[in-house]
Order: sequence, then C-alpha cells, then structure tokens
Amino acid sequence: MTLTEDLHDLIEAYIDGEADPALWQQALAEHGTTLEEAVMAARARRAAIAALDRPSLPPHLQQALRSHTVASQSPSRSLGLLWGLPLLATAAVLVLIWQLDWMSAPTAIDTDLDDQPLAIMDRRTEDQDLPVFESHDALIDHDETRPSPRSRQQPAVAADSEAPLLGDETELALAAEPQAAPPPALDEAQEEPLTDEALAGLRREAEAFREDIRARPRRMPAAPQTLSRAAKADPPPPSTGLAAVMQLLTTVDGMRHLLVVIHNGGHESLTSEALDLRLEGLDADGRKIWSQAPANLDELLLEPDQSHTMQLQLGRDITPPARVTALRLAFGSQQSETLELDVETDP
Amino acid sequence: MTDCAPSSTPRQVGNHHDPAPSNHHGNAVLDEDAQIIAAVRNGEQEAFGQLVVRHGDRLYASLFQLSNRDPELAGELTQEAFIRAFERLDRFAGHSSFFTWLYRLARNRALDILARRRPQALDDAILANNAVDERRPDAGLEQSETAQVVHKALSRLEAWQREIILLRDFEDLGYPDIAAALEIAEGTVKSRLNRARQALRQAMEDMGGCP
Repeated sequence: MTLTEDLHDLIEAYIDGEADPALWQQALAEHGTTLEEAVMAARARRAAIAALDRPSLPPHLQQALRSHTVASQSPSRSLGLLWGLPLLATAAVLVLIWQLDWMSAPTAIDTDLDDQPLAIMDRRTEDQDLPVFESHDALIDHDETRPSPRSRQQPAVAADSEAPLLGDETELALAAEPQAAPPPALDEAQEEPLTDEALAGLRREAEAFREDIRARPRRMPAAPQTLSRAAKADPPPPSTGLAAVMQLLTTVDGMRHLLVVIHNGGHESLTSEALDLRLEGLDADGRKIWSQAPANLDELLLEPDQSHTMQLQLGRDITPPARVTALRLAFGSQQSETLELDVETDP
Repeated sequence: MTDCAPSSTPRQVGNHHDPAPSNHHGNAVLDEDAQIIAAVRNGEQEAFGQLVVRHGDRLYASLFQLSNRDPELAGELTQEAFIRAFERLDRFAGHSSFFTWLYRLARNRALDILARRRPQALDDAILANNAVDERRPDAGLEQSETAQVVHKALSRLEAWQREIILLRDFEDLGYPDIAAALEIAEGTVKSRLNRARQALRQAMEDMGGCP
C-alpha cells in the first residue's frame, strides 16, 4: 500500500513532534501497520543522514586559516588604517550637509519609516530631504554647500520612529536621526562638538574631499566596509545629474528592505522612461543573473533637486533568486556599485 | 513487516514522538563565541583562530556532504567562508549563531558551483570504502544497506534539496536556525523540507531501495 505525500508529510511532522494528535490517530486507525512501517523507514532515513561521516578540516587548512588571520590586520584595525581618512572626510561632509541644508521639516525618511506596512513609497520633496543618501556623488553635480533658505531648527525627528523598524546594523539611523548613534566609523569622526571653528574646519575638509572626488576617475572605488551597505551610483553624466544610493536594512521582524533613493541633481526633469531604472542581481562571480524594474514608477517625474525614495521588501516587492549575492541599481547605461546581500542579516 | 522496514529495533508508534527539533548547540557555545568575537573586534585577531578551531570541522563536514563528498571543494569553501567572516566580523550582529552566519557566507558560493554540476550519484566504491567512525556508537549504521541507499540517493538530489535535508538531519538544526541560514521564512523551510524529503524517497525508489 502506498501512502500519499500528505501522509508522508504527516509522518515527518509526527517524528518532529508537531503532528496534530487527532489527525495522527485518525491516520493510524486508517493505515495501521503501513503507517508504522513508514514511520520506521523515515526514522531510518534520518538516522542514516545523521550518521554520514564528518571528516575534520584538514590540519593544513586549519593552520593556513589561523596564519592568515594572525597575519592580517583585525577588521577594526584595518578599517581604521585604510579608511580612516576617507571616512573622516565623509563624516565631515555628512555633518556639513546636515548642518547647512536639512534643518527643517521631518525628512522623507522619517515619515517613510513610520509607514507600515512597508511598500514602495513615492516621496518627492522639494530640495534635499535625505541627508545621508545625498552622498559624495550627488555633491559633484550641484552645490550642496549653499546656505539653505529654510529654517535651521532641528529636524522634528521622533526618536522612536525608527525603533520598531531598524536592525542594529543599519546605517539608516544616521540619515533619519542625526542624533542617534551612527555606525562606528562615522561615530568616531563625529564626536567633536560643532563649534563655528570646528564647522569651518569641516567645511575645509569637505571642500578638500570634494576636490578629491572630482579628481577621481568616473567610476568610484569600492566603498569602505562600514559604508558598503550603502551603494552609491556612479556619477551620472552632467546632462542627467542623477545620483542614487541603495541601503539594506533589517526590520525587527527579520524582514529585509532595500532602500533606494534617487536624486535629480541636474537641471532637467527626468521621467521614469528617461531614468530606465532597474535593479540587477549578481551572483557570487559578479555576473548579472537577474533584473527587475521597480514597480509603480510609471508616473514618476523627478524635477531638478527632487528626490524619490523607494522602500522594497526583499521577497515581496523584489524577489531576487537565492543565488543573487549582490544588487546594483542600473539607470540607462549607468550602474551603481554593488550592494552585497550576504552581510550580517540576522533575522 | 515488509522488506522495506528497517532492521533496527523500531520505536513504539502511536504514543511517542521525538522532541521538537532544536539546535543542540546551546547558549554556552553562543556566549563563548560572542566573547571570542568581541576579542577579535578589540584587536586580538589571533583569537579568530579559536573560531576556526570551534567551527572549522563542523563547517567543513557540512560542506563536504553538501558538495557530494568533494574534499577539495569543501576545503576551498571553508577557507573562503572563514576569510570572509574575518573580514566582515564587524557586521556580525549576533542575531543568529556564528555558525549559521558562517554557513550563510559559504552557501551561496557552494550552491553556485554545485548548480553547474549535474547531480551525480556517489560511486559504489566510495560508499563501500566509507570509513566507519568508531568514535560514534551508531557508526555501524553507515554500513547498513539502508544507509548506503540513503547516501546514494542524497547525492542524486539537487543541491538545494540536499542542503535543507542536511541542515535538518545532519546538522540537527531547528527550523528557526535553518530559516536564518537560508534566509527564508520558517514556513518555507517546512514546505521545502517536505519537497526535498519527497525527492529523497523518490530517488530511493528509483534506485530500487525502500522509499
């Protein structure tokens, strides 16, 4: 007598202690010995798998690994040495932008993060409303240091607004809540109180950093480790002036969301057709194996100096296959840097 | 009892079931890992060697089975995973166990490589030459006909099917840990596991063994 797949599933649930007792008794009454034998066979299969041989890591590999890590700089130390200056400059730029340009109403991110359930959101606001996401690339194409005509009062950020949403590893907190704890590397660079003198110093550093960015080739090198979750787009052609940033964040319920912010830093309006935005998935070897256009962009019209935010839940709004290990944003012939998906994403 | 019934003494059916699946690696292990990780983050990079000692064998064995007993591939994947873990240790938030995180670092690459290979059953000679682990009292089970058929059928499965069965039955991970390792919901773990088990039974049947 052959058991149905449903009964086999019931048997597995029974072995796991998760079968409904009434259902099990009913099945037992109907199938009797056949069911009992199937249970024994299932247990035997599990036992055979549990008893598969477990070879040890060959000693030479273990030794090689230990040698490698001892010889290498520790993650935190190497980060400080390799990326200290760029991070300091980045932090300076971020602080400067925050101080000068975005001191008014709650940011789009603030309100976005309050909106549950999460979905693709269309937040087009006048001028820059997303401080951190307006990264170096955006700075190239427009003058971000001009004094804002708007009020310089603190953004009305509710400290709790991100609390239910953000995982502890996301850097988004820095964007939505300047007073909140930023990521470690930025934190170190941002500890000094912002006196006028310090601000002037930061301005100089920002200018130097901007000059450095201008001097670099069009394609940016890989972002530092602590910023690698925020993938920046390549500087767009001057005629387009589009800047984009992607960021991955994990909600407390374990869901992962991709935050995409695009900013029109040019002088012409951009339609969705002109933008031709696509999310592309790369496998471990860096090959593009997946592409998906963000939904609900048909009516997008991005005026100069406007930003647009999309928040996409992985597995719901976008469904890259399991072999996709990194994402990037493509617009026209431009591609952002990749955003790795296999960083710490504990649910 | 039919010919397909296992020769081992059957457990009583109807009034007993195994406890719910759980991870046998307890909190003490997690605490020790957390201490070692904190030390590495504080600049004691040599402490990372302790993580290699603690988890290297387990990860290697798991990848060895996932890769259909390919020692070279398992070694390469294990090395890559540890190096990536070392480089990204700052990003480990500790929401899952270190091993789960480590496995996650290894699996995408493993599946990518395995996807290019056609599923291939293990050679009978390999199965016959399997060394019995005398440290385990149940090691003799490997020599049983059922065990060999299971091993062979397992090698014929697609990599994702073999992986989820191995995580459950070989690694003894609970559903939450498997969900974390595969980055899928627990409900999805159960449905995929059922499909994988079904494929295993079918493979055994195709081989003339007992499903």
